[in-house]
Amino acid sequence: MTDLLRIGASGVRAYQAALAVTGDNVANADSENYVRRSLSLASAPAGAGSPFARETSGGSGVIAGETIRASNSLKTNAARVAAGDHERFAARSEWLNRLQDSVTGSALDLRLGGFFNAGVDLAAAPTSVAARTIFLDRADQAASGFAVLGADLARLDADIGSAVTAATTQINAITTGLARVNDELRRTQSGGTAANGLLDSRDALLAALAERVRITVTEGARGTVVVSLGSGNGGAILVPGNGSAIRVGVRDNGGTPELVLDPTHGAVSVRLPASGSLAGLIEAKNEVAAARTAIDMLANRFAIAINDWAQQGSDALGDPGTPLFSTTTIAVLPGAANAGSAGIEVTLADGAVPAADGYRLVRNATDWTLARIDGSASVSGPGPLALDGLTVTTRAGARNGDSWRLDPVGGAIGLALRPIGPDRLAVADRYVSDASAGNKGSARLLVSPDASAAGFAGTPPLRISVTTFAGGIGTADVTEIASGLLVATVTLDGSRISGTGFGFNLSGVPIVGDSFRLLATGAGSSDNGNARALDRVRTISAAGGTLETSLDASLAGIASRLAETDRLGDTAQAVRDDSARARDAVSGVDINREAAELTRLQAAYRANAQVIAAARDMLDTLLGIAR
Amino acid sequence: MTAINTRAAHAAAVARLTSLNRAADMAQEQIATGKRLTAPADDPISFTRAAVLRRADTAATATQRGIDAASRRLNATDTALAGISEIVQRARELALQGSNGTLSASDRGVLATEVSELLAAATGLADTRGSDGERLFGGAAGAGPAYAADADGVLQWQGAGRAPAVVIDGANVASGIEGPDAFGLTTTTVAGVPPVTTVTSRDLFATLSALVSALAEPDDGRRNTAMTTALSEIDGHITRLGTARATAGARLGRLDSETERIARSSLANQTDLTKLESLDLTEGIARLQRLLTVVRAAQASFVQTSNLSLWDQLR
Repeated sequence: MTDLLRIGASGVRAYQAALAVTGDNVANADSENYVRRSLSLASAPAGAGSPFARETSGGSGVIAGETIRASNSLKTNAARVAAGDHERFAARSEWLNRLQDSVTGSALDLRLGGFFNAGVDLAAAPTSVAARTIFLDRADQAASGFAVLGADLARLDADIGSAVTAATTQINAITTGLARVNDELRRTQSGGTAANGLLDSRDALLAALAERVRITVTEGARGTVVVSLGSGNGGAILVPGNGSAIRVGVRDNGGTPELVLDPTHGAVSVRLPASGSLAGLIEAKNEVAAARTAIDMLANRFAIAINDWAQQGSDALGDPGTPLFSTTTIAVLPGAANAGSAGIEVTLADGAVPAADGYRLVRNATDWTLARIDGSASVSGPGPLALDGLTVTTRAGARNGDSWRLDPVGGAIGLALRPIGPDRLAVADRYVSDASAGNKGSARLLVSPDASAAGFAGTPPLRISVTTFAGGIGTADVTEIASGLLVATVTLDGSRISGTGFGFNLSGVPIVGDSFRLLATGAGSSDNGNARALDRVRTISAAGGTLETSLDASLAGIASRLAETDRLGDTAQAVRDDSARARDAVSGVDINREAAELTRLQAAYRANAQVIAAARDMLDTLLGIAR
Repeated sequence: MTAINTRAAHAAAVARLTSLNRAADMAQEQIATGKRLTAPADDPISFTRAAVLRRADTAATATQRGIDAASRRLNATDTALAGISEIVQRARELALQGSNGTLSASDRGVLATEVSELLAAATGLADTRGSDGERLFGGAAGAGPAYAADADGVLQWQGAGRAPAVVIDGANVASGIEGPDAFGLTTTTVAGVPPVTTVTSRDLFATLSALVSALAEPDDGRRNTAMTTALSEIDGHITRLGTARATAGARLGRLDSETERIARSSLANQTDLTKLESLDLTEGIARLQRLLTVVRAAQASFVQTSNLSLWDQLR
């Protein structure tokens, strides 16, 4: 009778525990990292039938065993890997999107096109001040387009750098957490609530880690894990089974970021597996760096081409043209340890060439010192300070010892329009030529400036008169028109003839007696030769095509990599969703199933209670007989 | 059959709804902007092609502005040349009248006065300015007058170089006629001992001056010689002016045909751009409608299925 009571009681206890587990499952139906638990029930061992333990005939009830987590390590691992792959593309896509927005948002292609089109308008109205002003404005817009884009890309690069640092900080926090969970697990009896809770947090940490970097997990005793980098065995160990985690960091290796273990002591470089958000970030960083290089090269090419072009021509006052763009600006970097709040302003004089190493500005007790980094020159005073064309205006609020780095930067950021008036724009050719109206031949004289030319002496205006010509070869006399002096007799054989500072060709067939004039373009000329030459700058093709097509190519490269990343990201997301669903099918909570379970367990509970009631009835009956 | 997990099922349903909403939003944006491509990554190849086409289009517009300016200049040049041609025709009539031996000296004086007036008018027309104040017949030297008297009082061309050209697809088309090409050039040679300056050719203005002097010449023989020379020179000038006008006309014609070509290629560019970038509105609206229907159905079925629960049956 007491056996039956005990059996009933064990059943009530076991199903109460099972109901509690089900209740827990329902309560945690929406907990992210919760793994469904179930209670394993086993029949209690019968007594051995020894003198001390009586063998029972009808069993001795049920006992509640371990609480089992419904987890499948293979499916969990597959879900982790898939999540890491997806995170890689998601991170890359996000930053490539920002890169694409920066490049399209700068409207650099429109600005460059506007500049060259303004050149065409300038050629149509070479003496119009309005056309010249508009052209200078377009040049300013093109330069500032480059400068804004350069600054944007630099900011983007810095932002990705911060994101990379944040990712490694998170990775280190997660691995440290995992090492601690390992310690706890080693000390905890498996199968208990505490151990299961620890395993849930372990899996959550592993999932979070796998989103950031590809890992291989090896499970040891009591659920402790060894986490190594990459896929398969042999990767660098991040979390050992016993001991503290190894920190990781990202450092710059000659322009390309690389992953290192233990960055603070004896850093070891390791290959970063191509999965996880860290990989995506570093790939995006490389993309941004490549875009920056491309834009900087393009800016330099643009500045050199346009400055060369401007110097080939002659301005409205008859003087040789001056460069349109300055290519250097000063970047100000406040010292990391600055205690004060002072801002400083730096201006670079037009045409000044700052020292390549840069400068340091230091606040002393009483005044300021601006010095070249190499120490070869310095100035001190209360400010403003001037050195090498740099003028530093200081503001109040600096503390003693505050310092600033002033570095010259070129490339896209450094591009700016020089202060040039409309009159100083070189629209005309430096030299013009004309054929005498009485010429019988069809020859034309083509003259162009050439600073290095050192042929015959003689200053324009010059008259070139053909004295002999037969069979493609002839001679011509060159006379100064002003003085009438014969300065040279040159051979006409189709090759270029050099004067001083210019050279000319005679194309076509002249007839003896034909003459040509070669004149320096005077002030107020309506010649548009140099403005027309801008079309050649626009269409000249270097490596990567013309200026505009190389810009298109850069943008198309970014766009196609982004499109590819998005495509791969969509696939990776589908795989991630599938594998997560497969994992959740095993380890997730389905409340309908729990409802059914609850009904089942309730019935069992009620039945066991009924067993106790029956035992009590039987006992009552028995005791009633004795009365 | 895999088991269904409440949380994952919810999350998946929400994700599907979100992606449907995003697709509908994108379709709406495409309809609102009328463009199929909203960012380069939507279709990098088409985007690059569209950028090239758009650039070609704006460049063609700029070229067209250049052509318009050149046309204006050539038209003004032609008008000035037409005026001068009339003047020269009149001068020829006067020269023919003056050649008549029966005229009295005072009659010839009247004729000489009119020729002087004609000379002044021609000189004025030769200094015609363009819209930016540049001298149409001055070549590239735009600031000063195209013709000015030298120390001997002889009118000389002050220009230099050639009139500004307009670049059309890499080829230069001159937008003007230089003075000497229209009016000839005064040239002299110096020979003999002591040096004697002989005029070998006279420009239009020198010819008209010579005609004035010839009409005033009292000696019949010398006058006849001078009148004959002047007449033949005037005939030469008329031919030269005709050639210059023909040249200006040919250049204008070239610019006109370039204008037509640019308009045609611009139309082709626009057609290509539309093909590359633009949304087929009918198809776009139909797609949006389809998406919205799917979104509504998905929302309704989500609400229905998430209402299904065994818990409702537990009493």
